[in-house]
Amino acid sequence: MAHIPDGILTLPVLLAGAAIGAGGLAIGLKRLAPERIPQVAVLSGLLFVAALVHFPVGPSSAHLILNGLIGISLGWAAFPAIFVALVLQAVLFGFGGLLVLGVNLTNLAVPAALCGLAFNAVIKARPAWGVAAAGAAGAFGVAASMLMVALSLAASGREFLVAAQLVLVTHLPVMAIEAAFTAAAAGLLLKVRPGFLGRGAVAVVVLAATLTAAGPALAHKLTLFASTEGNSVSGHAYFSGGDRAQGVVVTVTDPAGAVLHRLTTDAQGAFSFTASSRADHRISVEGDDGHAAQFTIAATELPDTLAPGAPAPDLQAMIDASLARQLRPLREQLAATHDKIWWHDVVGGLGAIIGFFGLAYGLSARKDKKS
Amino acid sequence: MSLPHAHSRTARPMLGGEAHGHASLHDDCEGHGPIGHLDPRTRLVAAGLFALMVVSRDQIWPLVLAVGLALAAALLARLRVLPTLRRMLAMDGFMVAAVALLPFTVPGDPAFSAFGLTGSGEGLHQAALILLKANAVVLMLLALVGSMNTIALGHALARLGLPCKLVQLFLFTVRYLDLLHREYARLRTAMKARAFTMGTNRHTWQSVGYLFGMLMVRSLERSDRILAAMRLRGFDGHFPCLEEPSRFGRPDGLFALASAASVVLMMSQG
Amino acid sequence: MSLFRLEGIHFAYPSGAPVLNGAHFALAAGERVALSGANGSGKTTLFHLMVGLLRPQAGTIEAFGAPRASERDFKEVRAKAGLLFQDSDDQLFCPTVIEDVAFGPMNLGASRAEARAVAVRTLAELGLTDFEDRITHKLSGGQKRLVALATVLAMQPQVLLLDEPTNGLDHDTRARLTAILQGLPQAMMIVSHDGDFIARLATRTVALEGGRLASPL
Ligand SMILES: Nc1ncnc2c1ncn2[C@@H]1O[C@H](COP(=O)(O)OP(=O)(O)OP(=O)(O)O)[C@@H](O)[C@H]1O
Ligand SMILES: [Mg+2]
Repeated sequence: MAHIPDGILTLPVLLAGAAIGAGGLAIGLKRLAPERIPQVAVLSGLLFVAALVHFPVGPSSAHLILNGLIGISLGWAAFPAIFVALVLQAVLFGFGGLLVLGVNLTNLAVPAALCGLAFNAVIKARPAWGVAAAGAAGAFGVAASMLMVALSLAASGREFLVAAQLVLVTHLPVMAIEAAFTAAAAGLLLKVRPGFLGRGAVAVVVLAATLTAAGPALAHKLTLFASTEGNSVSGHAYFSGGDRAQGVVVTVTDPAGAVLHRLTTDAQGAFSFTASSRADHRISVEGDDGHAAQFTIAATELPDTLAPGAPAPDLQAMIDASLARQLRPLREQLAATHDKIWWHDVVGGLGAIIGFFGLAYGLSARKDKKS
Repeated sequence: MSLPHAHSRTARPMLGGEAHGHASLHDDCEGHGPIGHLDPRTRLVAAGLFALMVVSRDQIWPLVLAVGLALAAALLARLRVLPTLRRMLAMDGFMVAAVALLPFTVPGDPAFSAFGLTGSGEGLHQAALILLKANAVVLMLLALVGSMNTIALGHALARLGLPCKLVQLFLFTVRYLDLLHREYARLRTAMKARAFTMGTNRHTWQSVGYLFGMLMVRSLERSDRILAAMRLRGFDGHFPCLEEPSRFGRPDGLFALASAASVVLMMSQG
Repeated sequence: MSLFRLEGIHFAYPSGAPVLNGAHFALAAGERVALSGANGSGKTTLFHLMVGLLRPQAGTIEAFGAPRASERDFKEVRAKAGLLFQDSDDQLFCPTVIEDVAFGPMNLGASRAEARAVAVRTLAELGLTDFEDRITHKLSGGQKRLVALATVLAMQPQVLLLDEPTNGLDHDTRARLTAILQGLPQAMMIVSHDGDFIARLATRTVALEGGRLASPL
């Protein structure tokens, strides 16, 4: 289990986690028939016991996360099962914390529920692939959970980025262990108690769809940066995260809106043109999926010798040029920092989407109960 | 430090040391000390509010005060010192790393250098904040809620509005924990008798996978039997939600006042 | 030379009264010792002490010619002394019979194929030829008993510690088990409340009483 303690995460992250967790809990409980409570309790207890098992990994040790196995056994009911185990661990051992319960639940249970969905689909289509699918679920459960832990950390501040990366790297061996473990456990269950795994716990589809839809939209925010050197203007377009945007159309207009240049970025996402007048240059780029970015080169950044025609470079222009050259990386970096999508925007957005979805579901569940 | 993460310091002693596993789960903790006289709901709500307070403070002194309050609560709850310390020190390995890295990842005035890296004062400050917050919350949680009988905790959660099904699940889990744990220990012993040792290899992982699979099968069968027994006693698919008489009384009122006062004190600092 | 030598063993469970109180015992090669004693007298406990699953509070355990105290010492002992658990459900945990029987040999370093071959052979010797792919959990009590014995024998131990091996076996199966055990060269200690079985098998008897072992005259 992966327990983030209280005091690390920021309020928006805590809220997003709580919203997703509560939504998942509502769905999980709604789908949980009272007759199945003893079964789910067994699994929940198992999660607790699993924290006792330490596997040696070289000189250090790792312990089971187990959310893959829980997911393929319980589907949506993984939310309540994991919740109960987390509460018990927090209260009895001080693992994790109180306000982070929602985040910890989300980080473990969302991958678990996804595992359940995928596994059920596989089992239905190809019963013979059960063991392999379980192994994959084991690895995915760990990977996705740790990715979410890393996201929670990084969303709480840049200073946790290194730790977030560390989380991911150190869990690579755990993925292998968990895959072998889950495959074995599921193999035994499939043989000894056929019908327990993969009884069509239905759709985590909405959740999956939301996740996949939100991902690319956020991943493609375009950013633009340009600088001058004498009368030549050059710049880069890139996607958030730093990938250069290649083959994107760049339009340069003057303040009146007249198009001065129309260019396409090269393989490095770079473009350049020569300014022919000393006026503000508005540069804009537009990606395929409707994302756009703008940057303005002020007239004052261009040499004042420019307006009538191309002049011979004087001393002042040479100093400007060299300054511009030296400042350029700095400015580029600043722009990158400024425009980079913060991970908390991502998580916050996702949280809001899934949280609303959960809320709606929870409300509908209550309505059902009343009627 | 042991990565990926290590609960070993708390998990191991549980196996044998602490009065055979979690005998401590149901046993006698409740009713000890003044905290034991409080209504479980009071304790839960107080712990929640305290956590909220602590997490939202960003100065050292109020947080030191908070740790002090948590310590006082732990003393009032008569928590045993050593196990509690062990629990507080147990943080996931990577969390330890996250905090230890802070001085090097938070930009600011250089304050010290280690391993050829310069640590910033701001980073140290932030690491200290996190350690204070995490420990204050955990300590208060152990003092107010951890000292409670788990069954009482379940009932308190029910009366604080947690869904009935969730509480039933909680209570069933508590009931199974001991069984599961003992069964796990027995199977593990038998494996040891057949010269099994944990290694970094597939045979180990697979065997432990089988162990847990078997544990699941047996527990599921047991849960089937329990369900059958419940049916025999007239279970019709509905759990009655257990109602307990409220115990909210004068001590709770006093405690609520005291908590409110300490919260105000904490807010007024810094 | 004795295979096991126990001197002045004292043992009590953390939560209880002493179970063993200065027990002495030695097991020599080729012996088949019957261990008798009332329910709760500590027979199972003694076996667990001998293979280091429990540690005595006082006294020394010598096994296979060396004193044994640490976990590492006992790992060696467990490879050479096979313990049949009183409850087979504690012993069997793999999905299929063949995997369970191969588990021990693999712990001793055999490859998957070697372990499998040993397992097949052992099962055949016990007359369990068609059991390989049966699901362990779904066997009957008596069948589980035999499979559990197979898991122990597959490790080719030098000493067998059998905790109530005839428990739950029918008349024919018990006769077969008696014949099998009579044919084995290993030294063994047998806990059994089955007088007839003991009479056929044991070379001597020791009784566990009041936390000590005594040979009735
Ligand atoms: N895990 C344990 N914790 C505490 N006490 C135990 C434990 N196991 C056994 N005991 C106690 O130790 C004593 C010896 O138990 P043991 O199982 O060794 O007896 P036994 O001679 O094998 O009995 P039986 O003939 O019923 O199998 C008993 O009084 C028992 O209650
Ligand atoms: Mg016994």
